Amino acid sequence: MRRTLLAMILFGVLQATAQPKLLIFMDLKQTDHLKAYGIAYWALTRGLEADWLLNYRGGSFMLDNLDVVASECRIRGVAFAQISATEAVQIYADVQREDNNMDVIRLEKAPRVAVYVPPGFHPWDDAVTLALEYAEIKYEKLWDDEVLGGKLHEYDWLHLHHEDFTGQYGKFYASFAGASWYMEQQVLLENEAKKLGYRKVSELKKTVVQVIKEYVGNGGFMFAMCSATDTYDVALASGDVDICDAMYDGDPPDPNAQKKLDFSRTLAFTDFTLEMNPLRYEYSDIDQPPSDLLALQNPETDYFTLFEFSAKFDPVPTMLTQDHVNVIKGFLGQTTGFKKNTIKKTVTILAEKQGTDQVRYLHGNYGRGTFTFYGGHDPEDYQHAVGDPPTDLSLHKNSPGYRLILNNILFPAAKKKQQKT
Amino acid sequence: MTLCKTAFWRTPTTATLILALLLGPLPALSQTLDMGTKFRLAQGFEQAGDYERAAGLYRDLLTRDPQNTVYFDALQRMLMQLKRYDDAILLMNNRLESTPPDLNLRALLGSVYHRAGRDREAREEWDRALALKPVTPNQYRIIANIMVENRLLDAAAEVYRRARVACKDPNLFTIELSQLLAVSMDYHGATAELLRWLAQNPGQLAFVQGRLAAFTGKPEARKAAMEAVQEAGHEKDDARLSELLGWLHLEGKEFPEAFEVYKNIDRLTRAQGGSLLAFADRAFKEQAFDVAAKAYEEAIKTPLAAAKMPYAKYGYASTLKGLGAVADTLTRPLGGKRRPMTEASPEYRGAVAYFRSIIQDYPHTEFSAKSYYQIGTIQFEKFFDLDGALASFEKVGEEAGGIHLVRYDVALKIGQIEVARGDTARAALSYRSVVSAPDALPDQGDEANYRLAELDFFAGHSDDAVRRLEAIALNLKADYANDALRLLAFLEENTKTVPEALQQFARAEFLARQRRNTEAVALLQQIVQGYPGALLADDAFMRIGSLQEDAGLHQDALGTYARLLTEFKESSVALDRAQFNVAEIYEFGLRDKAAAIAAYEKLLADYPRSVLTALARKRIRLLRGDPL
Repeated sequence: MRRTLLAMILFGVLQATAQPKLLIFMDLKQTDHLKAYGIAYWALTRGLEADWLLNYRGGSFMLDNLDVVASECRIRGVAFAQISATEAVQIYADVQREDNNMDVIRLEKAPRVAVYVPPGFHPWDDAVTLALEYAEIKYEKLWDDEVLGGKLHEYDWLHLHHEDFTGQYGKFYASFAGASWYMEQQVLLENEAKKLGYRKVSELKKTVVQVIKEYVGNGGFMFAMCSATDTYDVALASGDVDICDAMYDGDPPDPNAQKKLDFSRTLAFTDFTLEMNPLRYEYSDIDQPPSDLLALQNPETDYFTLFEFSAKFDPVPTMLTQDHVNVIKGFLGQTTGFKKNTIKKTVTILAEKQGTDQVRYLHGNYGRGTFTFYGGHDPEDYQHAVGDPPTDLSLHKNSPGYRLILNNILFPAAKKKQQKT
Repeated sequence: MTLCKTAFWRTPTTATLILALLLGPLPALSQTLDMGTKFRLAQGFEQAGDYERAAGLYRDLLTRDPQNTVYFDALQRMLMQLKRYDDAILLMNNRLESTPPDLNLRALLGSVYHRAGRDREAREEWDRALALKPVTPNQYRIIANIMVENRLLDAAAEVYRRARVACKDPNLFTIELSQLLAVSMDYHGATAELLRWLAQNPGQLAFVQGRLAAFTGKPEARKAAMEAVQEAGHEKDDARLSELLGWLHLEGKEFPEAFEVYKNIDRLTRAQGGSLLAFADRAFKEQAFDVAAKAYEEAIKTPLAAAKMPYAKYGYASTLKGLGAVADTLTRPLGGKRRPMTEASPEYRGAVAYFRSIIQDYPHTEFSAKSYYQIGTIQFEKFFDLDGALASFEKVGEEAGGIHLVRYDVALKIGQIEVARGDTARAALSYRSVVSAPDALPDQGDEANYRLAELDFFAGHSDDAVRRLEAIALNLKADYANDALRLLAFLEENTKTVPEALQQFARAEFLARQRRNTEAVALLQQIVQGYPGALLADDAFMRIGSLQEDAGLHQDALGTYARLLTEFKESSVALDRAQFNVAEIYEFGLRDKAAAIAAYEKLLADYPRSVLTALARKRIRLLRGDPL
């Protein structure tokens, strides 16, 4: 009774103070889901208010009904509806009803986004930068100099490009040792290591992962895809142990490397077995399915399912899984998915391939920050090979797989709510 | 004296001796077997990854047979695998005491020092290796290779350079050094080495180009390579260097710079304009008309050999025509719209005059025929000088009657001219000559049939037109398939519903072809007034607007579209197209950026499902200066 009375009072107050709104719906009626995130970001950069209505019509955005916003939506091709004050109040009330698995998240400010990439990087090489470019979300590039130089604290959100943090140059040696791009990449990384005072690239990367871990611990948000996920934790676990063979760092690996791994240092993974064969395109048994068996995957039947979370009690995983569908087409990568039994119990699994031990998307906390790992290379290119043409996102405006990436970019903008579970 | 009859071998001493001889090798034999087995065992441990045990066995073997290089190599290998660098260093130093001039061993020792983090000692060891006599290039090669294995690329390059001084041969290791420097991304250095090699092998320009092409795809690498070539060129005037430089400029589409280089190439090779002509043709193909024009002019001035001159002149005239087309687009950007110019107009004046000079200089040749064709095209399409164009096209046949394919193109043009003159009978004759020609190309036949369908349409014979168009549209890959489908849809839409309006429309269209725009507009306006509910009314409005735009009457055109947008907003299906045209008039006609943006935005707001929205968005972003 009391709750009902409170709700009625709230409703009354809202009605009295309400204004017309602009609703960017994110269900199947939306014409360009990806650019819609860009509109939300754009609004935040202009100091406009934006609300994220979790689980309402696919995770819609509610903004003030300003001409400039409507115009920008039209120019970017984002569908929207102009709704009256009464309708807006009704929507808010519906979303906040106790019996609805929905909630309102106020987005406060546009996060400062950084992408960890080497010089000479092309934005079309990476799904995240493709998404950022398409959604017109600004980002800065940084690399080892900047990371070790303490620049990370200037950013709210860090994306790890498809980096190999183990110092094994992506384990492309077997196929591409003689390729000019491989040799140049190796020289570039070696020069960088030398410049920063490291004898080996692997030693440099171990320091880098540690610095990034501290950044997360101090409140940063980290998002990694494909090989940046498992190699990150492998590098953390290996500590000072040499796990690289001679073609990568000039000397043989420690024969007892596996026994010396320290899983207490990792963020997401534990009890994994290293892949010590330098010619195998794999870092450990975290990757599921293994890269050797990718040819057996059938794109027609490869899907993964998003889990549903309580919007009111678990807003963070709810934000990260906002989508207009909950079964999403799979896609391969050097690291496609994560073997379930290598995932720490403290990590939240956000999506998995049903009926298998393959986890596709996970999230966890470390210190005051969070990390999210997403397996696979490009949500709209089932099997992307070196040298393949880039994905044209204007042909995939409604990509559910890409939405998961963009959820991660907006999530740091959310006003912090206490997690109730 | 009695002879001793006892056998020699029966004496105790002899027996012992014999026994010793027989049994003596046995311990040695058993020792050999033991070592062989031990070695195999050690190999087995090594393959199984048990390097400690393998090392132990190899050490035993080496102790027993210190000169055995197989045991030595194996032990050294195991110590490296176990990262027991100090032990390896000790082992190798001991070995070197007995074989100090062993270059390979010294090189390897340096490598071990490096891996152990003792870089100074590594360098000292390698220097010792290089100090061994006699001094040969091979010493340096071995040391450089070992440095490359240890990823000391700069040091390896330095060793190659030292080799040149030590061996008194400044051209040693050019290819090796160029490869090393390219991998290290020192593209300037890599190019310099390839040029050094080219100087020694002057006939290998193609090889050098091939090597450079491995990295000149990158702009910064191409720039570095160009700098190296330019520096080398400062020292001497070398045609090969100029060719390389010219090629590098062309790779980067830097035509003005390439032109300067090709002038030099022409001079150095005494090509008498031949190189310039080849460059001009290349620039023309890439539509760098201004540079191509200058290059042709330069080639002509040289002067070129008589046999090549007409090619250069024709090329020059064609670039003038190309330049005219570019200027035309800039001054009249509303695409496809034409307003008649005259020969006095600057855009094509030079081209026509030059084509005429070719005709004068090379009468009754392929060049004069093509020149007449070009003049006729300009006269008709740009000047709307029908008599002049007709005369020019008729001359084409006289000049080069043997060129059949040109004949059919000419016939098609003449047909269009006759339509513009209002003579459909003569136009039909022209088109039929192409249709009935067995050697006309399929595209020429399609165009001729399409034009005949248009004539049927003008004459009000819609059924005949439809039959012709259906035949063309059967092949969707044909050039004229789209046009045929468009006209076909138009006819089918209107033949049954408003045949009288359609006939009127056809007459208006015929008048428009004759540039009798005022009469055409009047007829179209009658259609709008007389048949306001017909689908044809939309087309009439749009045609009125386009005719007004053609005439540069932008405000009138805006008024026409505005009328369509307001008075016919319930019935018209062309509203989005009309709104788009309004925006284009503001953008390209009146050059009012703000009004253009507002007009495009109105299209987005009012017609969100229009096929034109993507283009409208792009135009807005360009006008706003957004990065695309």
